[in-house]
Amino acid sequence: MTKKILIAVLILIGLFVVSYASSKLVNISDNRDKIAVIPITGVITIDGGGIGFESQGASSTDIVQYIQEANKNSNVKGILLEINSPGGSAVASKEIADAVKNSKKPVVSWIREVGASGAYWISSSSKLIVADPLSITGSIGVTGSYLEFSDLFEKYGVTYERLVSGKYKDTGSPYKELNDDEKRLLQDKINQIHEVFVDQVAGNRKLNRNEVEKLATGEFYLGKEAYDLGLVDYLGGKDLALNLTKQLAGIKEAELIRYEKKRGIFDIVGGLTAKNFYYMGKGIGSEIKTSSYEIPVRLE
Amino acid sequence: MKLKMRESFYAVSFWRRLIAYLVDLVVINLVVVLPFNLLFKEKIAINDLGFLINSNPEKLFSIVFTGIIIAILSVAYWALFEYFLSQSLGKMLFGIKVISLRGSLKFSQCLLRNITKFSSLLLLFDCIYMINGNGMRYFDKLSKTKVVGT
Repeated sequence: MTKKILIAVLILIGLFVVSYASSKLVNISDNRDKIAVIPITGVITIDGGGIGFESQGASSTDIVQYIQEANKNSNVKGILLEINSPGGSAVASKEIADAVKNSKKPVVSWIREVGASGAYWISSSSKLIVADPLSITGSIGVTGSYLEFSDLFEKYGVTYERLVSGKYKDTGSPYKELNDDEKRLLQDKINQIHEVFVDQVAGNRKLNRNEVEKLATGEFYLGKEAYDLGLVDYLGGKDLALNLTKQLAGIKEAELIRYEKKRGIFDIVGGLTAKNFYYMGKGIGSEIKTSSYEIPVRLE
Repeated sequence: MKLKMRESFYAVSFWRRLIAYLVDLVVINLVVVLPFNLLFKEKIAINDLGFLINSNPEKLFSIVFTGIIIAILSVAYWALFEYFLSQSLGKMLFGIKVISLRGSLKFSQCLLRNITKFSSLLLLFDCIYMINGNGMRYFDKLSKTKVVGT
């Protein structure tokens, strides 16, 4: 019995030693300086959207996670946000902007074709913004516009039966016209979000609030215009953005690591299948009903 | 004159062998896999191998090499235990052992019968052979070994 135990222990120790020695040989983790490149592409929402073969937008849940992971990685010295987004939901944009502000590593935003509205909010939270002279940026404003079908339904003899317990419960329903009171209510909410947006940009860019308020008409600016207005710091491309990130990080050379999830074929098929089974169970009719009262307030 | 008593063996159920296998997997995780886990300083919250490779493409070779080493050492665990002791730790716990159907158990037999264990999928296919009711995996038959209860 003792011999048996001894042999067992020797085998286990032998295997552990070989395993440990092999793990030392394998250079899994190196200590080279890195810059994390985090793409923000498409419409910004909490979950990124995109079903089946639809292209996904930017998920604030994922991006915040990437920023946090980059901060935890001791080899990552700086973060470069590669932005190509028209904006998105107010909450999702703010989540990312807050994560950028709370980052202990320097963050540089590089705006490519579009970095407008919510995407500009995110950029403004970073230390520096680099944009192409022809990039589309700015668009500081909020929209909650939606299609309203009451006249169309009336034309076809379809009526809207209103059954609510609070007078504003169906405000924003596309099946009825907004009355003045409701319009005032929604406009007030949009104005509040707008104020927060303006405050954030003014604070982040260290600009006079009144000046930003004047710029916050929703107008988009080309990169060169934004540069003249103080909304971006440099005009240039990836090389400039990278060099600035390295400068802020205090390093000369860096390896780039890209933080993004790629959807494989199983994710796409799984998403399609899951969605189909969900609707089969729930019933298409109830889905139309539950989606009717969302007011799409967006920074786009 | 002493009479040498023959050891009596009996066939072992699939479920007993399966649980013994799972116990061995736990041991292998502690002894073989854990040293590699300690090297992963970069915590991948997403727990996605695809993300790991995408964010560190130069590590692809390291990751593949690690996989090969773990596979070899896993098979070595079973082969060494069965050669020296006729049973792995999981088999010891459940009172089962490996015997050779032709003379004494050789190392080559132990290696051959365990070669599919580096891959769960290969092992699954190997186990399908047990449907014919003889209690042997295909590689048990190939290596001329049998798992019996003591």
